[in-house]
Formats: sequence, C-alpha cells, structure tokens
Amino acid sequence: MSETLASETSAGGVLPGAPGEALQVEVRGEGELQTQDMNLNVGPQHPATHGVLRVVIDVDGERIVGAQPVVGYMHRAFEKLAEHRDYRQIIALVNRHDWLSAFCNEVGVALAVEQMMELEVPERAQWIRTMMCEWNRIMNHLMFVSSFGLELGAITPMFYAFREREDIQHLMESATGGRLHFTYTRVGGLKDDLPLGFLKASEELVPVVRRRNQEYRDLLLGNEIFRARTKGIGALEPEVALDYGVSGPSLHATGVAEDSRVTEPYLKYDEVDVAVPVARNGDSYDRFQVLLDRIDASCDIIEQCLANLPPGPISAKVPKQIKAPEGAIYVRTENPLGQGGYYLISDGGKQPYRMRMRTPSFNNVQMIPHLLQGELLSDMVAIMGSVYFVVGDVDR
Amino acid sequence: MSPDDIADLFVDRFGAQVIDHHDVYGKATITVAPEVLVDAARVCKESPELACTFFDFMTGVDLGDEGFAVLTHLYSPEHRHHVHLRAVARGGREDPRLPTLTGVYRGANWQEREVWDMFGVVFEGHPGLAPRILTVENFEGWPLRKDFALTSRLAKPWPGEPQKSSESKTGGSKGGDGTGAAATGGAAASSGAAPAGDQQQGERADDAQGAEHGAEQAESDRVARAKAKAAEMRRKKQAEREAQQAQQDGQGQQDDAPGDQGEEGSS
Repeated sequence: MSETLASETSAGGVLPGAPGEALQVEVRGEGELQTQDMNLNVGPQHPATHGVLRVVIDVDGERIVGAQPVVGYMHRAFEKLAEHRDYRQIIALVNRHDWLSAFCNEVGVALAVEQMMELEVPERAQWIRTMMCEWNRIMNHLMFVSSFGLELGAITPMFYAFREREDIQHLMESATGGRLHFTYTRVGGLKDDLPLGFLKASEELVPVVRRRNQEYRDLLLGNEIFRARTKGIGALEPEVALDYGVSGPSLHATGVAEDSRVTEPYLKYDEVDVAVPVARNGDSYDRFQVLLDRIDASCDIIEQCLANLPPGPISAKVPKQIKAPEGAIYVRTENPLGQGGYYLISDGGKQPYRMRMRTPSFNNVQMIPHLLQGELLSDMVAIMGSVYFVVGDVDR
Repeated sequence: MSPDDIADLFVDRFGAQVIDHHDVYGKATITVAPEVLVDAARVCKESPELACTFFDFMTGVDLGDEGFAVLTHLYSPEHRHHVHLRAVARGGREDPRLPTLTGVYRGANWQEREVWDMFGVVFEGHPGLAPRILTVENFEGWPLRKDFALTSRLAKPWPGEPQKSSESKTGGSKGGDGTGAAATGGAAASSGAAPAGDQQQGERADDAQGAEHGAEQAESDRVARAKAKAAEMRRKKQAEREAQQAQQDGQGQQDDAPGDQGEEGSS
C-alpha cells in the first residue's frame, strides 16, 4: 500500500493534503471503480426502527439494492394465548400488541363479541368509546410526529409533543386507570362512567392540541431541511399499497381514502362528521402531513362527541360468563396506524376457537422493501420512520 | 355487491369447484377447491364487478381431522364489499398443501409465511417460506395447531378456571382455607374462629365427595363451590363480629391489647 502511494507512475497524480504534505495516488486500469454489494444489518437496536425491527439491506455504494425486514423478535403468541382466555381477559391482552393504540384494539374485540351476541350497547357507552378512540388516536399520532422529527435530527418536537401526550395520558388515566393499557372496555359497554371533570378537561384540551398541532406543522413542514429530506422520498403507488394491504396514513397519503370509520361506520362514527385527510404523492412528506391532518380531524370528532354525549347507562346487561355463539365474524376498525381487525371463530364456548389479529403494522412493514429499493442509504431513516408501525403490532 | 350476488358470481364462474358459500355477518365466505384457489383470487382482484384490490389478511384454521383451512380476506375499496376466500388444504393433517397466492397479491408473501409458521401449511410456489417469520428459526412444531399444547397451561391452570378433578379442587381450596383462617384468626385474636373453620372444611370435603359420585359432576361442583363461598362469608362475618367484640373488650383493658398484638406480629 505504502509502496503504491510512494511510487511515482505516469497515471498517478498529486493530491493536496495537509499544509506542506502531498498525497500521491496511483490509478490502475481505466480508472473505473469496481463496486461490490455490501450486506448491512440495521437493528434490532437502531433509533429508526421504533423497537426491535431488524432490516438486512444490501447496498451498492450508497444505493439500497435490496432490503429484508427480519421480524419476530417480539413474538408473544397472542393468537395462541387468546384461545386460552375468556373475552374479558382478551380485552386486556389485545391492549398489548399495539401498545400505542390500546383503546382502539380493545374496542375491536368488544365489537366482534357484541355483534355475535347481538348485544345492544347503550348510547352513552358508544359515544364515550368513540371519543376515547379519538383521544387514543391523537396520542398515537403525537408519538410518531415527535419521533419522526427526532429521526430526521430535530429533537425539539419530541419534547413538545410529549407535553400534549402527557396531558392526554392524564386525561385517559383519570377515566380508565391506565396510562398505556387502558382495559376500559367491557363486552357490552365500559368498565366505569367518566369521572367528574373529565368532560371539562376534554373540552379545554382540544383547542390546546389543535393550536400545538399548528405549531408542529410550522416547525416541521415549514422547515427547509425537513422538506428536502422528505419530499419525493419513498413514494408509494396506490395500487402497490392496496396489493400489500397497506392501510392508515400510509395508504391515505397515496390518495386512497379508505377508512372504515367512513366506509363501514362502527360505534358512533355514522353520526359525526369524519374527515379523512388524503394526499397525492404518497411520499414521506405526504405521509407525515396526513398524520398531522388526522390529529385535527380527531379533534373535530372529539368536539362532536362532547356535544352529543347523552346521559344514561354505560353498560348493557350481560350474562356473568360471556359466550359468543357458534360462528365466525370479522370486525375491522380504523386504528391509528391503519386497519385493525379481529377474525373471531367461536365454538360457542367462553373462549374463542381461533382469534386472528389483523394488525396494520404487519402489512405496512412488509411493504418497506418495496420503498427502500433503489433509494439512498441516507434516506432509509426518512422512509422507515414515515411508514408508521409499532413492532409489537408486527410480531404480536 | 351483496354477499349473495358474490356467491352467485363464483358459482357461475367455477361451478362445482365452489364447495360451499355462505353469508357471515354481511360478508361472503366462499369455499373453493384448492385447484381453483389462485384463479378465484385472480377473479376477485381483476373482475371489474368484484375489484377486490385490497389484500387484507390470511389465516389458517384448524379443522381437526379434516386438516386445515386457509382463509383469505379481500376487500374492495371501490365497491365496499368483502370476500372471504376459503380453501381446505390437501393432504390432511400430515402434509397440508395449498397453491400460493403470491402471484396475485404481493401481500400474500408474509401472510403465507405466517400461516406456514403457525400451522405448517405449505404453499406451493411460494418464493421462500423459510426461515420462520415469527417464531425462532429452529422452532419445532406448529404453534397454532390445536394439538400443540400451551405449556404454561399444562403446568398450571389459569387461576379462576374451573378445575377438572374435584380431588385437586378440594386440595387447593383447603390450602386457601387454612391460610385464610390463620389470617383472620390472627387478626381477630379469637379462639372461636379455628374450630368454626374446621367445621366448614369438613362440610366442604363431604360436598366434594358427593360431587365425585354425582351424575352431573359440574353441577354439584358449582353447588359445592357456592356452599363453600357462603360458608366462608359466614365465617368472615363471624370473625369480624368477634374482632369488634375484641376491640370493645380491648378498650376496657387497654394494658393487655398492645401486648397481644405485638405477640401476633412476631409470630
């Protein structure tokens, strides 16, 4: 090595080094660089992976030529466990696969069992569920708003967004008793009525969240660096998104406004105006914009819930032991990260025969290699951070 | 399209290859022969009247001796209808096989890997089912099959679950009873509670024996449990009364009371 550096050849040249030094280089052949694909492991512990997602990528220089997510590090066999628990316990269980959308998950299970049992859930319970789903959605989105900023090097949004997250968490904790795993839903209604002062606190918090959301919009979407790093990066086509079963903000960013709150309203979504924000290009920037817009839309829904909340009981009369009648049902809900669904097969017992958890993150992560193909390595974080997923939701 | 219309369309198209179809809570469930599964999926996706472009999920179902069924859920964002496409794998429990849908939907790739991982259904033509997607690479067995037992449940039944043998039931509740009696007895500082507890236990053991011989074991089990619970409540109430009594007595002779409590605390 030192020999080549030192030797003087006709093809070589002198490059400027430190003052007083010069580096001599020799170029052999035609001067073309031979490249070789390199295999690079990202994760399981990496800031861009939101948990323990591991991606094995092949890079040719700076270009990603292939990527393969390796999932399963957090597999907890929830589907097997569900076959050994009764429905009340399953509600506690499904809180845990997507821990950022706990409430929306538990509502999905309750809806499935209620539909099979033909239970009439009281109005008040349905309105409260709707409102809580939206609070949970905002909480979830604030997490991704902040973490996406963090991944692109902006630390400030993380601190700011956690301020509102904390407020919402306090609010939900006051009603449910849980910060992360609420377990507030019961088959047939809710665990408890709302505590005194909840509605007033909700009413006051909505404008705060809306105002702060505008701040994030200015802070991030208005940021030159942010725009440069996200615009046109990781563009997803609507046909491909549907083919992979991608849902939620990632699908809406491609222009497909498929949202089961609108197309197949559950709870009280048919009695409120649900705005489904969409974008056109399906790139990282659009996905992030949709996320911010969804927070505003959720604020609107919460205000409508507060205006419409009727008095009354919060739980239907249910038998002591809940047994879903024999049969199968698929119930889907629009979870914060996309379409969540439970396919429940019951043999008439108090435990399900089979419970399939359709989680949005699984399908979304499967699509990531498609986005990474051909992109620059430095854009990987901007792409993976904007396909919003929770690893627990992938692995279940 | 309504579920009936969807079923008609499939019957028109595939005739006898459509084994079964029904409407499940407003969603069409079509069972087709494995030979036409891929064609059926293609029809779902490409025919303009179905246009099920959204690939939702895929799941295996253990059918017992019949083997395994694989159900694919497809949805049309355009027409807002659902199709559950179902096929029973060939080869029974030993060697379940189905053709892959990866040629039709890209999303089928991981979903099929998961079904293989969980049920052992092999999808012919799949680009690569291994390595196992969710479980560890060297995992043995197919976790979601019904004959794959949940080890933790074998070792210890879920608390609150009705136990199978009445033998273990009485054993378990006796232990619980003993500690309960000790605790309440200690707090109440009464000598009356202990014999009362013994009596209840005797009663309960008799009940349990009766249950063993009874024709409807579950029924009498429940009766026994109810009786035991009632007895426990009675005992608790009595202990409470005695505790109150003791307290009232204690107020009369305050010198003795602290010494008593200290002793029990140390024991």
